[in-house]
Amino acid sequence: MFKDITIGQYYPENSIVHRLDPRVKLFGVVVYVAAVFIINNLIGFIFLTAAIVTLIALSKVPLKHILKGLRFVWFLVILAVFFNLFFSDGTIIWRWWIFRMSHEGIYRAVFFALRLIYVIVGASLLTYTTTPTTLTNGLEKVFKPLDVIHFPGHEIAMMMSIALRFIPILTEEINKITKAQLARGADFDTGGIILKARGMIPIMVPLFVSAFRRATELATAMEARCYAGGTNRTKMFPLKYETRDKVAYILLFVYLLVSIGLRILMEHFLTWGAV
Amino acid sequence: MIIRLENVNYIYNPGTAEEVKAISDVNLELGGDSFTAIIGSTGSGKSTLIQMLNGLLEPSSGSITYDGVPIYKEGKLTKEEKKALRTLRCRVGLVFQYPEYQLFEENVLKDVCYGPKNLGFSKEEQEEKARAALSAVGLSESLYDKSPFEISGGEKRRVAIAGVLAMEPEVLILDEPTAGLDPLGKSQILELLKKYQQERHVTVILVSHSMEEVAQYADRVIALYKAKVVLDGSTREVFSHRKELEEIGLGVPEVCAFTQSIGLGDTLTVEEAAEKILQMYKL
Repeated sequence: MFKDITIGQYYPENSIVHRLDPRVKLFGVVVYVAAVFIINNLIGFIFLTAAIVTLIALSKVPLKHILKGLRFVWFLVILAVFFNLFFSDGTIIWRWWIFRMSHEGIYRAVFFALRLIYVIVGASLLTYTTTPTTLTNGLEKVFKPLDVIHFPGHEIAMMMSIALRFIPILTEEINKITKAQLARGADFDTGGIILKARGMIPIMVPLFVSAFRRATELATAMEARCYAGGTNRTKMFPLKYETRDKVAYILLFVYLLVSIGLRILMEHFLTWGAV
Repeated sequence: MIIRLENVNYIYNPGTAEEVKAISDVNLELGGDSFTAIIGSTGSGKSTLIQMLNGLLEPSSGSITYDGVPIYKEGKLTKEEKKALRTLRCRVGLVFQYPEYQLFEENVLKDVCYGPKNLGFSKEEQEEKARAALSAVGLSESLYDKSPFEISGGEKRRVAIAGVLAMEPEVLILDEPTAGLDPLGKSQILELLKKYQQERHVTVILVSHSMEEVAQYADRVIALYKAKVVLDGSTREVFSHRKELEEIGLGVPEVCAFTQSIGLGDTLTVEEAAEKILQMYKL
């Protein structure tokens, strides 16, 4: 049922994308997400696709693996498409009861779905290529300037990486509990939606109990090793920028400028294909 | 009930880089009036094997029949077949490792009722079966209306085992039921299993890492190594293969190793060894 959730999980590989400094990759995600929303025409999307496809190829993460991670967001995509498609105003081309379809709505639906998928693919590429520890280190550094306003950067970074780390643990737990209840004759297939939801109780209760137990155990283990938050903590491997990181920064800036440039150009000189 | 496995294979993640053959060409006949132990080092395929025995995992190839009736057919399962699979899971009870983590109800009695309830018994019958199972595992009645989350670890374990016992399985499989318990808790659980087996003449299949436990309680031992069955026979017979057992990361009970090393041959329990030594002195 919840077999192999891949989204948010590290994919071990030795590629240039894996070796990049996590700060560069975090900045990259921000630029990329910004670009996804700046771009509003076909040429822009072709450019974006080229960029992300190149990155995926460089990262050596199989495309199949990435698409598998998308399984859980299809529902969101379909919902968004549905509302954009049938409830948009503009040049109406079809109407039935409360539903109406317009040229603008179709464009918006298509581009919205594309944007959502592109954002998720880009963001998951970050977690596929960065270990939770490195990601935490990177986030911590990024939050560092906010120390002056007492922003708990280290704690937030730590919480995020623990949350990511818990996904596979809890997935495994769900599988185990499901099997144990199946062995007691549980039936998760038949019955209406209410019966099915009630049938989930024997899985959800032990899952929550175990999540809390694991959290307590982890906290105890951290305290036993004298963990005391971020202050005065030094690193075994401090983050250091290499040449490839500097090159990546430059490329990201260029990429951002091109994205903005494309939008302005298209708006001023061409009118087709715009949303 | 007789479970027969013919040329059974099980492969995890077939067709990917992480492909693992967990069970390789296993032929076995289990069941009858027997207390069977399955031994094997970690990763030898024990857990996969026992999950196939009650239909939680479908073999990649080969056939499994229950009293001659197969449960898997080509293609998708129909509604009837799914139901049959569910009934089967109750006839072949499986207690997983650390079963106390599957407790969920508001009180102990209700939790044990869950199995019989799924089998479609009436409320009275459910309670009757639950009470019988709880007394079989030796839990005092004062605990019945306690929350399963506020009793001790050993008590939780017994409640979880009662949860499967209440379905009155013809074959009861337990994956390391004594792991993490104190010596008294261990022997209590093993004794109750032995009693269940002897009173009802059913099959108890025990997965264990303790050769002492196996020697003391089992009458048949199956040793797995690297996805294959390497030894299968009566307890005494299997433990006479000390060299082979040590090669696959197992061994014989301490007492057996001791009597072998002083030239008294194989023994399975301390009592038996004591008798042999006394006899030697008398001569």
